[in-house]
Amino acid sequence: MTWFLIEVKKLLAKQIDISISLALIVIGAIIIHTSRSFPGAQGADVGASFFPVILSSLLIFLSLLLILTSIKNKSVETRTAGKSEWKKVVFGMALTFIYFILLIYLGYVAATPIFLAAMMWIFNYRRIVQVVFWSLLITGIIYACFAMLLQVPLPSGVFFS
Amino acid sequence: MLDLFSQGIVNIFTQPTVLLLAVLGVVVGIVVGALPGLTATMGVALLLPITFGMEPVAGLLLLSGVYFGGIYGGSITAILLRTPGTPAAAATAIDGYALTKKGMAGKALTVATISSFTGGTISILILMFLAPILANFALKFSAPESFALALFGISIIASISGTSLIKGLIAGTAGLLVATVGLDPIQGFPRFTGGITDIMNGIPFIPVMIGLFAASEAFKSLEEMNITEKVKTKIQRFMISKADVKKIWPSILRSTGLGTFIGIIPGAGADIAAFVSYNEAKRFSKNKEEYGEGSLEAVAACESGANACTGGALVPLLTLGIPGDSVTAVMLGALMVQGLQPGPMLFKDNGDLVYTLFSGMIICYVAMLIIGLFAARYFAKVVEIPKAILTPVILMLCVVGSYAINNNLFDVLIMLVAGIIGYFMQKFDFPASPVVLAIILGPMVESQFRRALTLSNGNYDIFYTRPITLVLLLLSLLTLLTPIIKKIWQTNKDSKDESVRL
Repeated sequence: MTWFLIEVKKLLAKQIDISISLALIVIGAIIIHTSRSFPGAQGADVGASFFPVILSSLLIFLSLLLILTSIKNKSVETRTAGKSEWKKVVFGMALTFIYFILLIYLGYVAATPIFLAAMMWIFNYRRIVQVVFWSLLITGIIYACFAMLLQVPLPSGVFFS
Repeated sequence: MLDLFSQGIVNIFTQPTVLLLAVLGVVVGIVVGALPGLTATMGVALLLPITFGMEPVAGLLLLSGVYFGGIYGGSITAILLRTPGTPAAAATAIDGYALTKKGMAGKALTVATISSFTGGTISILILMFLAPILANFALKFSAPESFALALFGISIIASISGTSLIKGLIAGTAGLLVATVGLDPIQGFPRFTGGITDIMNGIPFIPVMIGLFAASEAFKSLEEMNITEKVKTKIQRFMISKADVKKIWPSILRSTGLGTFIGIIPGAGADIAAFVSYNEAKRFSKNKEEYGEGSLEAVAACESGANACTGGALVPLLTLGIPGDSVTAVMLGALMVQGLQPGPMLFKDNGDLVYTLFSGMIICYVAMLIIGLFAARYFAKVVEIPKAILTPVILMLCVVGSYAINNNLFDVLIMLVAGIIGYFMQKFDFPASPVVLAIILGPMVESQFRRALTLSNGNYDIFYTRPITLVLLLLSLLTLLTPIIKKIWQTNKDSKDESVRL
């Protein structure tokens, strides 16, 4: 059993495609399981569970195929980004998420300059005057275009509404 | 038809806002296209939310402008800097940059502009004549045909858009599964909603689209943050001579035909059109030796081919509701935002709107011609915008845009999740466009399939006794099998070659 686990671990580390396939197989199985509680066929209609079950089965089948082909292809591809680059991407995603949270509470006008400035700062654009200038200017331009010119709503935030 | 068309032109010129928005769209499109890493798809997806409150014609022309400008704009940086702004301009970069090195950048830009304009305009005219005929034919479609058609659309994009057929199919299947979230189309039973009311009517596809096509690209550009280029080339001599025109004319016309045709085929987009046009132009050319060394003919072929693709790609989109590539998938979203369901009924119910749209598209191309001829060189300056500013702005627009569709912060969350998933999909070679297309067409696939079975009292005969349905289903199967057959054929050939060598 432990041998098996070690082998699986090795495979996971070696082949990202295999781990994605395994995850998809698990997801497919969960969907099939959930769909069993849906109403079934009624008269000529195949019912609510028909499509999810067929599609998940297809997903599982395709994932198995992907596993087979990646085992057959012995070449391990190197396509991961370098360490520092990964960090930047994760930072960017996290900041965007924080921006989303800030929008809920502070609204567009207050949250946007903070987000823009933080992003520029983290990505090595560090002339303070320029960072402040650009983040305020862009916030203003987008506000003018969206809220005033195009009448598109912008989040106002729970604190200010 | 001609009176509808001229009526359309009049409609637009009597509404200055519409005209202005169309021109604005072209300008934004050229900027987006010229910026490496930003594609026409991304531009249209980012601007889609702001068209929500507009009149249908105004909003759709703004997006068409971005679409057309985006395809053309890539050529500017391709010619001047050898960095194609869009994949479609990669072919242009070969000869375009060679011309720049020879000091003929101005001429190359002029040729690219004129060819893009000609290719695009003719393709819109073809669209205008072809679409009503196809729409008329498609009017006869009932549930089984609609089901087969939607399935065909998804299968073709899944099999073409990625590097691996299996991954494309996984993406398509996953998208179809996402499309099952929400109330089921016949019985109204809530599926996989987890009690969240926001997704009762399904996962909204516009935030998903913004996430997959725009946010994920922005995340990816965070990886390579510190590259800025400067335009050093001095650009002059924009005039082309009569001899030049005589030389490039046949190549433009041929590529326009090719591009339009390739555009009509679902799954093949402007990048393929540009490369095929390049190859064909070379094959027919009397000056083969110039190709690769800076040939105006080559630039003309690539650009007219790529832009002719736009009109072609709109044919299946507008008449059948089947988008052939990622840009038209976003355009489909734009039409649906306006409450217009693309398909044969569009021409029957909104005929005057469709023709106004066609007229407007030609106006977009005229605007592009004028802007391109006078200002192309200035657009090259956009590559000097530091990525440290550009990328945050794109992410901010993704967030603000997905909020603006419904004033709903939940949509922003969906966009973010889609953006993160999209980034990893890109990293691991899973194509995004089958997912988007499957989410859009998924509900149609399921409801039409079930409706068809109800029509036939549960008898599956209905899927192979009706000729159009049968043909469409066979075509889907063929689409899926072609790459496999090709691969087997290829390996056989390779092993034969090897044995010969041994």
